[in-house]
Amino acid sequence: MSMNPAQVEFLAENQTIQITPNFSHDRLYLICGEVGPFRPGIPVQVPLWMAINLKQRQKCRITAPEWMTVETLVKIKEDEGQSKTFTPMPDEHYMVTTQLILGAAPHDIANTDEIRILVKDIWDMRIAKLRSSVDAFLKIGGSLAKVDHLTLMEINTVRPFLPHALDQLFRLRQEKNSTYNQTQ
Amino acid sequence: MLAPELLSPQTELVDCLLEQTKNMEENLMAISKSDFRFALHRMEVERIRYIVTSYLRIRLEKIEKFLCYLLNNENKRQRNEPSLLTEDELKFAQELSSNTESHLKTLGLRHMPTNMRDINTQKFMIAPNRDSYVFARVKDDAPSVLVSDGTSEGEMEVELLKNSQHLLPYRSIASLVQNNVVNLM
Repeated sequence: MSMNPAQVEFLAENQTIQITPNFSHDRLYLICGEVGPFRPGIPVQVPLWMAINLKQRQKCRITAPEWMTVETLVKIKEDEGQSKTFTPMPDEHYMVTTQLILGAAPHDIANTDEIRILVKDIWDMRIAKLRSSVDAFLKIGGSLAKVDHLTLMEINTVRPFLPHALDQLFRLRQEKNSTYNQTQ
Repeated sequence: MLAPELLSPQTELVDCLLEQTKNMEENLMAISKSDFRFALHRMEVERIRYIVTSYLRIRLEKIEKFLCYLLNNENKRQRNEPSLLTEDELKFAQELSSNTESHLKTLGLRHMPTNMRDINTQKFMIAPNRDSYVFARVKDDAPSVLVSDGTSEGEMEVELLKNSQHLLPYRSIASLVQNNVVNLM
């Protein structure tokens, strides 16, 4: 029972983001809600999948989310480095959003290379933390864990291994318990 | 997708979405293809269709996997308890079961000695593993739950604060998932 990265990306694409269209259009009545109206130069909120599509057809400029600046990301990276646990991320799907936006609209965002490197560093740090804490967790034979502030994509990197391993350990403990009770 | 067992069917949601997409598609046939709105509405319809079909497909996979268990439950169910299977799914399960049985009979069993020709459905039964570990996120504050680790002494209490995330056996939070207080990740 695991998700593949494409499915996580699909979920991330439902987030809203701000764009500045270069065309004019009335309100759009989507099944999920209303979007628009679109006026050139006036920012409007749309779902991420629509923003990427419009950008690819050269119909808008994408505004970076508030957290996608060098200063914010440097601060987040420092906090993550100093904390032993996981710090809250500004966005549940920070990795996917960064890749999609920087892939489709590199010229609309300032300092794209730095931002890419910073996000990658934050990701690597968190994954390394996740790996070592999973290692420690399995060694002490823990049976439940608190995983606050972990994002879906990061959790997906340890699936299906971690839940499956824990299932097996649970089953082994159950067996050990029942044989122990039988021999009493 | 993430729950180890079959959850109750969200038939109203599915029906509503399917109807909306059908209406939208009819509207789309009416306007021309080069219209700017066409592509965007089309994309949304495709996205919704993808979610609905993968939801239904996952349900069918689970029905195939837990066939005997689910049919057994269905037979034991009381009149007033809601079913885990929709009418179509129940029909699918019953036909699959009888087809498998007749397939096995014609393929091999009729060539076996007479005293070995029965199919013991109890042995076929795969019950879902409700102790399977899952990642869960708490939507609203909930009363704490007791989590077992497989041994009879090792029970721990877990506080379920809003927005906290946990890795624990599905059994401890199964009812909370059904009531939508806890979401699986």
